[in-house]
Amino acid sequence: MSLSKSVLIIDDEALIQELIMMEMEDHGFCCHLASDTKKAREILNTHNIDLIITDAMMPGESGIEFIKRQNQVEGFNTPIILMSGFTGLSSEEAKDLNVAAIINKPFHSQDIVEIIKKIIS
Amino acid sequence: MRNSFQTLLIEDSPEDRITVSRTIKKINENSLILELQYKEAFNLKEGLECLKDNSIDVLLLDLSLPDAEGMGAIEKLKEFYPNLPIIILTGNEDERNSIKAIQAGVQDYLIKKEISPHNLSRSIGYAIERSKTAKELEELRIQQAHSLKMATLGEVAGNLAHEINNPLTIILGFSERILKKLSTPETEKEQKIKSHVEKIHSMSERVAKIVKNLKSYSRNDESDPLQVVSVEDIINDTLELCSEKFKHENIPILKSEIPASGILCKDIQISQVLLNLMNNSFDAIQELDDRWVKIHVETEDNFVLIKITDSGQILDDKIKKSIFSPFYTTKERGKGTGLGMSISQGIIKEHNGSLSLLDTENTCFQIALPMAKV
Repeated sequence: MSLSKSVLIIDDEALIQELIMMEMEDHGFCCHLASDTKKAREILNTHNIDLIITDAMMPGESGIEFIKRQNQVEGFNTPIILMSGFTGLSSEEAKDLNVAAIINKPFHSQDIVEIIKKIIS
Repeated sequence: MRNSFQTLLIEDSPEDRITVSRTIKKINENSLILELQYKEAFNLKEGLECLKDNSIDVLLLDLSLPDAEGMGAIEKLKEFYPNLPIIILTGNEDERNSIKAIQAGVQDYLIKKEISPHNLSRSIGYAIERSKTAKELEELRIQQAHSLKMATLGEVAGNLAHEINNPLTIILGFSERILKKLSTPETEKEQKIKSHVEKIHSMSERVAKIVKNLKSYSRNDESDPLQVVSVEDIINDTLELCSEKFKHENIPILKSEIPASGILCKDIQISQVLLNLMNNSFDAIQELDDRWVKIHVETEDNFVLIKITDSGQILDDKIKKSIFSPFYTTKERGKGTGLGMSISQGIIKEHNGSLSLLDTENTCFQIALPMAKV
């Protein structure tokens, strides 16, 4: 695996950010944290990000709206993983979002690492 | 074939009783469709006594009784027997009272001096049909209220699941991190910490599973496709939702080995039926000395039979007869809707199966569902 791939973690729950970050750093990823999608866009504009992990439900713009908007940005093709406690999304809606993976909360750290490795490699 | 109905006349005047009984006799002699049995009561108190065994199909009621005047009698009767068809017999042509009586829920009114075999038999026939329709409407209304309640419950469950899943992710995640760091404990202390954290981890897993089950209730399953699901999985998922309650009351759930078999179903619906049976058993045996519930699964002629037996006595014939009827309940007022069993039976029938009460020593319900072809 190439050195230090960058992952952007978007979640309004600080402890979840921390949990994923620790797991990612254990596996040699470099992490950026955002607690809302506004902060996330700032990071996307200033850094090279290889993968985005976002929560579905957040105050302000939701993760799902964020994904829809990013999909319309020209040239944007960074893989996104959607995390959700409860999306209520139908399988078609999920398909339309064109995300790399959907992970249901609660998840096992091991699973999330496996999925990310698969997507990035 | 003539339709046979049991009538009851509540009337204090001897002459009027004779008129009605003669009219009924004439109906029986001439009618091609009706055959009427006839009982009499002289006042409301006696009438209520006759109604007790639920054998009366239609009631003929005089509006001026010595022990109840007019609308009072109707109200009392409606309170105890909301679905009983009532025909009012009035002495005069007081239309206002008659309209009031109809509004209070009686099916028809006849003026005494105009009673004839023709109008009485017609009135009885109509009253029975009308009250059937009214009952069906009422059933529909309550079932709708019930599904609305389920939908609200679903919404709450969905939100709750979301609220719980974040903290749960954190608890699970951090306990996993500790366990990873302690994968090979070096001291006794580390060994102890590891074993404690393992407990935290496994309990959070259990919470996760309960939330997941709750979440599945929050979905509208109308459009869910039928899926082949393992019987063992459905049973275990259901027990996850109620075993704690049984454990708390020290009621053992005895589960024999479940043969590997699948059924084509909407698993949430089947789980709802199982949960309903488990909860009924729970309520039924709570006061007994000997308390247990047994779950046994077997296969027979391409059917999967799930038997839920509890330590309760075999139900008496009267309960047996009514147990699947909507609104029938043996629970206290306000405790049960009397709809659980009839909805359950509806669900199982939709799956081309059957839900029945077996003739065994204890109370035993059997769900039979067609086995899925693999």
